[in-house]
Formats: sequence, structure tokens, C-alpha cells
Amino acid sequence: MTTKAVGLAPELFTRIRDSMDAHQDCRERINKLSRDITQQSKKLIFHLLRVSPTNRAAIFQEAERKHADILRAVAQIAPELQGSNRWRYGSTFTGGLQEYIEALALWVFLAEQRLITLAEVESRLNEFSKAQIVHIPVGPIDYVLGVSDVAGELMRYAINSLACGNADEANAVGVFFQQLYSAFVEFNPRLHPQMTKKVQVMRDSLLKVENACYQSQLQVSEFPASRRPPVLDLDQPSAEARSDEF
Amino acid sequence: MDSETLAQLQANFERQTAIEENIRSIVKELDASCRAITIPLSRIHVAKDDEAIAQILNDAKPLFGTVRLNLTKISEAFPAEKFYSYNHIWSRVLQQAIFAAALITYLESKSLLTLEELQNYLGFSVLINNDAVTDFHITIEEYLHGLFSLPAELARFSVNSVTYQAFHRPLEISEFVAQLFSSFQSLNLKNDSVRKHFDSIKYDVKKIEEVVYNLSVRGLAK
Repeated sequence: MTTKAVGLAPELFTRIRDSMDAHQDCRERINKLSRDITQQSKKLIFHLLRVSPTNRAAIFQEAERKHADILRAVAQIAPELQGSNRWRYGSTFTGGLQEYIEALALWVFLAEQRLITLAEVESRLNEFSKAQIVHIPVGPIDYVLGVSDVAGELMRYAINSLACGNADEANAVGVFFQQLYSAFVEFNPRLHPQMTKKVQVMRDSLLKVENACYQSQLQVSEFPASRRPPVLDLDQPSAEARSDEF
Repeated sequence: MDSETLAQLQANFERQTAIEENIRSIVKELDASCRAITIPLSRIHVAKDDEAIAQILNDAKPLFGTVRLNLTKISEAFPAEKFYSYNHIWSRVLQQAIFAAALITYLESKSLLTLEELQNYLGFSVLINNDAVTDFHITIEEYLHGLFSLPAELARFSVNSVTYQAFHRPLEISEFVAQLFSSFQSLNLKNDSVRKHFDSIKYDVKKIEEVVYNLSVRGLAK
């Protein structure tokens, strides 16, 4: 080479390097906290699935405590997600956020047999910031993708309920689930690359619930209450003991 | 999901799709205005002398007016806060415009396109910090992609310069690209499209060095 190769505009490239490094570091931090939120949300989901008619109050109380843990992680991310940076790092943050929305959706369904709204998700997510100095908006697509994930949990919960002899609860899940699915098939699959897969997974879970309810109905018809052998009259034993199977 | 919630979500998605479609239609115009610059610029390879090249540059430069106009239209198509939600739509096309500006700058003054010069060409500045965006801007990645396209074009230009007996050019190009490459190497690039683009440059550097070598062994490099 005939040159000294000193590099052009060294100050400019130093500035560019520092800025790109800062951007990468920021993305790493968000990625890490997003994974933390995913883990804690999964724990909250497993905890919620242990609910039974006898322990509801205690389960929901403990859920509040676990929720507060998640918000501590959210509070750490929040400063990095201000303004346009919320959408700049959206794809990094969405994993944790979707898992969190899934947990909230399951919680609200178990407590009130209804779907959590987007506004409620946003308000719960931002509970960490009492003063509203920082506010993390939730995108409609995050909400839709997060809620779609609750399908698998509803399926587990319905099968659990049936296994515990609580056919009414399983049927209630089935009806709610069917309504949810009919809404999802109305969404344009091109909204998000994951959309088609999520709706497919949702359908698979729904079919499992529908089949289980069908089987249970057949069994009930074979053995009307008057002729039901005592062995089928389980009368809802502890769901806790059985929930780990799924 | 009750029908009201569903309708709200659907309305929200439709709004977003409408914004995207609007941006896409402007980007089509932006693409046309960028190609209107890069197509005449490609004539440098068949330009007989410096005068012919100067003429090409004079023809090309005013065409940035349309690019600026289209960029302004894009900037008005959405709230600045959502910049990163839509940035991918025009990013590739914008890189073409930055490349064209960088090529013109090199041919005019043998120098690297500065941020100030780029702002004069495009009407918007490059954002070199990670603060939240409050105005439309050009990203660092777009600037780098634009610069990274330069060595390939200059490699071809050095080959064709020999054909037109402009033996001084390959040496100038070689020196400039070597320095540019060395600047690029000071960046810590991660495994993404910027890195991939950077990795392709070494072949162009090699090509230019071969041209210089061939001139040198024949005593043509002065």
C-alpha cells in the first residue's frame, strides 16, 4: 500500500463509534431485563395456574407480590424506553412485554372471567411510576400477540379443571376461549410476522379444550347424576396437587 | 374479546396500515428521485475527461431538490415519536441518496462526505446520539451504508480510468479508500447488515490495489 492509512475524519468516526457502542449497550441492557421480565412472568403464570376454588384469595394476593417484582425490572428499563426509543427498542422489549401481558390476561380471566383490555395492561405496566414521570406505552400489536399467548394457559387450566372434576369451569373456559379465537381470526395476519403462527397455536389449544369438553359431556351423559358411580364424584380435590402435571 | 374492543383494535391497525401505505407511496417517488441521480452518475465510467465528469456532477446535483422534497413529505407522514416504527420503509432508498452524495463529494474534492455536506444535500441531519428523536433525521447506519457503497463504485471507476488513460486516478482512489477503510475499522460493528456491508469492502480495496499494482509495474503510476 502506498498510504499511511491514518483514517479520514478521526473525530467523526470516534463519535460514531461511541454512539453505536452506547446503542448496543442499551439494547443489551433492555434485552437482559426483558428476559428477566419473561422469567418472572412465567413464574407468575405457573403460580396463577395453581388456583382452585378454595385458595383463590391467597393465590391472588401472592400474585400481587410477584407482580411487584416484575415491575421492579420494568422500572429499571423505563428510562431507556422514553419517547421514540420505546419503538427503537421495541423488538428487543416485546418478548418480555408479551409474556407479561400473557400473565396479566390469565390473571384477569381467572379472577373475573373476562379479557383484560389494552388500557388496563398499560395502566398496570406503569404502576411502577407513581409520578408518571416515565410512561411506557403498550402497542396494540404487543397486546394482541401477548393475549394470543394466553391460549396455552387457558388450555392447561381447562384440562386441569376437568381432571379435578370441575366440568363447569372447563366449559366456561371453552366459551371464553371460543370468543377470543373468533376475534383473532378477524385480524389481518400481515399485522406482524408472528401473527399467523400465534393464531395457529391458539387454534390447536382451542381444539384441545373443545375436545376435552366434548369427552366430558359424553361421560356425564353416560352417567347421569342419579346413576353416577361414587368414583366419578371427585368433588374437586386440590387442584394444586395436580396442576404440576401440565 | 367484546366487539367494541375488537373494533378499536382494528381501527388502530387500519390507521397504522394507512400511514405505512402512505409512506410507501412517497418512498416510491423517493426511489425514482434517487435513481434519477444515480443513473446519470453511472456515466462517470464512460466519461472521457475531467470536464465530462464535471458536467455529469453539475447535472446530478440539482436533482437532490426532489429528494429533499420527498424526504420532507415522509417526515410529515407520521409523528416523529414513531420514527423507528417506520424507518425501515425508506432506509434502503435513502442509502442510495447518501451514496450518490458521497460519490459526488469524492469526485468533486477527493474528500469524504461530511455530515454538514450531507445535510445540505438532503435537508435533514444525521443523529449521532441515542436521545429520543424529536425530528425526522438520518440514522448513523444509513450514513455508514451510504459510505460503504463507495469503494465498489470507486473500484470500477479506477478500472475504467485506466481505459481512458487517466492513470493518476487509481492512485488517488487507492489512497482515499485505504484511509476510509481504516476509519471504518475503528468502529465496533456488531453482526448486522452494517457489518455485512463492511465485510464486502475488502474485495473492492483489493481490486483497487491490483489496478495500482498493474500501473506501477508498467511504469504508468506517476
